Amino acid sequence: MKRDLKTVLHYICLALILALPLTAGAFDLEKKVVEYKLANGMRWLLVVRRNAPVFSGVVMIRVGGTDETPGKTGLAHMFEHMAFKGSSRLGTKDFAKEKPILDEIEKTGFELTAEGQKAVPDKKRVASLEERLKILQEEAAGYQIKNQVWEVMVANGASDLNAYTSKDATAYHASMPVERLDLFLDVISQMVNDPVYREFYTERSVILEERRGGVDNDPDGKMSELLVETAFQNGSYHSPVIGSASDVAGLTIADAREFHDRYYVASNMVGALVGDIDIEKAKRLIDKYFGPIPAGIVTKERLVLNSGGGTKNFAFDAEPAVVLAYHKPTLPDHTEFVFDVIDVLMCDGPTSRLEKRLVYDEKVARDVSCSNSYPGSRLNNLMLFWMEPNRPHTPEKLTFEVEEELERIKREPISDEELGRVQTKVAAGILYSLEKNLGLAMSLAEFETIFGDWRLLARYPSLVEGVTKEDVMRTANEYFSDKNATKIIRLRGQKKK
Amino acid sequence: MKRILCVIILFGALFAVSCGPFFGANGFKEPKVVTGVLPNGMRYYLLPDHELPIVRMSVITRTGSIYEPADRLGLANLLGILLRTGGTKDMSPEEVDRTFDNMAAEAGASIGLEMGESAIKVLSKDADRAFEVFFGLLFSPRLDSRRVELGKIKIIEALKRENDYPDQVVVREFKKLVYGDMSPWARRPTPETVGALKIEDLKEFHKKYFVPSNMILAAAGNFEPSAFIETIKKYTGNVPDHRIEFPNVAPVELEFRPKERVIERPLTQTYIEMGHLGIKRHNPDKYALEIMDTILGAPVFKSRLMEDIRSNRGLAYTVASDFGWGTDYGLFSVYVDTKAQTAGQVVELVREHIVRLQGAGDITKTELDFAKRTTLNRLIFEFDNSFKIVSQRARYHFYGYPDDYWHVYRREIEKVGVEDVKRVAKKYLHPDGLSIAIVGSVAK
Repeated sequence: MKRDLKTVLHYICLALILALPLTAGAFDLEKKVVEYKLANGMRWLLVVRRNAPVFSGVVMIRVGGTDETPGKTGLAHMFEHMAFKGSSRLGTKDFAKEKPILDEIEKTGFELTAEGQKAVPDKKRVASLEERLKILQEEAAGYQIKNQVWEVMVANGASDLNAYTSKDATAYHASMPVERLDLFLDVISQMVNDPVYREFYTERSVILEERRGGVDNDPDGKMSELLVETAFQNGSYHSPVIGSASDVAGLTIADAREFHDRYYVASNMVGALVGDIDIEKAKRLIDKYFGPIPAGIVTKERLVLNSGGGTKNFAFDAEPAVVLAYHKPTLPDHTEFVFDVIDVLMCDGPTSRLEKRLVYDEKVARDVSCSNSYPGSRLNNLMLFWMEPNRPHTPEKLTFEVEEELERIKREPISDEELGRVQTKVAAGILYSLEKNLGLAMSLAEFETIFGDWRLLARYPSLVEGVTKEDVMRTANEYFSDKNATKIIRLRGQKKK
Repeated sequence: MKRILCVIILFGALFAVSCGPFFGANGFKEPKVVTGVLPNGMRYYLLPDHELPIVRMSVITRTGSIYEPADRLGLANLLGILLRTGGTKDMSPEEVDRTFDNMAAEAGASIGLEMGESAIKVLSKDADRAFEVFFGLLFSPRLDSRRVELGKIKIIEALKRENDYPDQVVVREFKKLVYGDMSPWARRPTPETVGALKIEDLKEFHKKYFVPSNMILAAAGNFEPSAFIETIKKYTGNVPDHRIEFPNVAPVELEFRPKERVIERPLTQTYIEMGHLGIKRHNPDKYALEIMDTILGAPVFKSRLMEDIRSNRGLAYTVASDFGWGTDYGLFSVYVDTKAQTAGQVVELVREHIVRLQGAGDITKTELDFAKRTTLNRLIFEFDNSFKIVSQRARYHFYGYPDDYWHVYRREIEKVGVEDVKRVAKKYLHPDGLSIAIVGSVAK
């Protein structure tokens, strides 16, 4: 409980969810999903399951770190925190009285931020603006009900109430007793449609704390940050989702509002409900709460993919580790399914090639893991191999051995047993993921939001089944080359500040 | 409990929700769990669920590192690893791995302080074969010498790497500080004690504890109970049983002496855990203490610590309290991380909150009602997954609760009043006896 889901997902992203698609068997997903599209363009996916009188729900917006512009990194995540601060009706005792103070806070915070961003800030002015901001915030607090979103939701039985921001999307989710479907839809619709940016400047400090814990002092967070900086020398993938510390310190309410109004529009949103729901009632409530959201215009995405690569070493007061990554295409390119096969073949379970050789047979690595959609999926991305050596073995030795194994799949076809195992694992993985309402709701929303079609989830096993041994060899030859590689090596030592 | 929600409706002026009782109370029929004891002495809890073609099973065993001899630290941990990776009498470790991987079975085993658990998730069509291997690992482990070596490396590496994560270090050090470095509840193996472990030690530890009458099985999924029980009998019928003499575990001495441990590191954040001993598991005040803990800082946003330290002051991303119970005394603790410059201030703020709660003058009915509603209304999630239901039942039995403990718990929480919370806060919080562990730089 020391860390919540948000922190984890910032750095790990969607690869795991993508690796868990869905097969028929007793549970035919394609027949189970009811699609419902509102007049404003928002898409909903509903699945009835009668296990217990509960449901899980998610609202996902197709906006994430990838959509940020230079100088404003961390904005998507900052907005996500703001959504939990309530609306004009939630979190306030008297919004008519609170609003003018919020406006003053916005103005003062803007001036303070602008002063703080100067090369040589006027210390006196900073101090007086800080003092003014403090007074205004105390005044506003008199009209506010702190954390009322949380209060209302958890008092009514919400579990899994949280949100995350990835490179691709932002999602808000909870599981609740089914009698509270009305409340869930009401609260989440206000969070995404009617934010009032309460406590913005205090929350900015919270996020800077989050960043210290997740990047500065976390050897793996630091390594992930270096990986994206090196593999993508600028462009939409260059920064981690949480943003650079200096950018976050410069964010203002105006930035957050502009961001919200541009991206949080109905045509850019997907909802999913899975559980003991009544479909007709759910549709009526969805209409009531999400119908009024403006359709909006989804403008052309301004994404820029700029690749880089090469090797970088860094020192950290931690045990060594190494990540080896290769640029690759994303969906709808069918090579994605070949990479899914390679992922399971190399890294999934004690018989997979890398785990068997490095962890079990030679005992040179403590752990090997793969991810084939890092750091996001809306743009071409990376397949990565993350390894931690056992003492006294070195990161160089591990990368050398992984490269040897990659050479092997370029030269020799994989065995029938291996191909069969991979297909069984992909299909079973999907079945296992269906056990939980929230997992299913998230997977449906992700596929609809990011790839534009939830059905891809249902068809995933058959698409992976189409991958041949020749596909694996051809893909390995095309992508696993030195000129396409990025390597980040962590060695023990003191950080350079 | 009715009041708070009505108040919320007024303030929010928008919620079309009723102010009824909490949801688990009406209309929901608990699924019927099949329970009994096999001829060999193993207890079971089974729940058929045919929605998906999957079976999940777990076996818990009363054993653990608290029973390790002082010169064999790491023994339980190592045996736990071997019970998944070390092969069986009839199969090499590689054959086991291949069998599980080829059927996409997910199997694991581990041994903690006082409980061992082996678990498997498998497609129901492969369940029979998977169970044969599963029980082979549990009752006839090969303890393959290469895998023993690998297990040792794994533990030693994990011990080293734990130091890389300051949030984990502070939790470990806080435990050692309060219980004592060599207490069975806090002590840690070292590379030396792990390196010295012998296969004979593992055999002896396994033989002593892994007998059917010391185990509880829980399973849910696509099966019929009678056929399932026959399958289990087939693979466990011949396992011999005996009475176990559990070693004496040194009792925790109940004392509240403030202690401090600072681990200096040049970090941008300081990691803090502070608190003291909690209560034993069957203390009847635990329900009131749970409500008290929710008011103080159990991990929902609407708590005193979260509201003050995170929402109002922006001083931390994570701040949470936990009033714990255990077989012996558990731990009461507050965890928080903050930038180095504000560490001193945050420690003082946490201390003030504990003093205030212990003084107890101002616990309100609103706080109480919110904490109770939160606790009661999420109870339904104990039932949203079949395996969760049986696994919980097995644990109730393991810890000495009645089978219907869920109802007991609900009734006890419903009964808690403001005066109860004030009384337990006064009795069980010791602001003068707070021990504190710190990792990071301490700018005084």
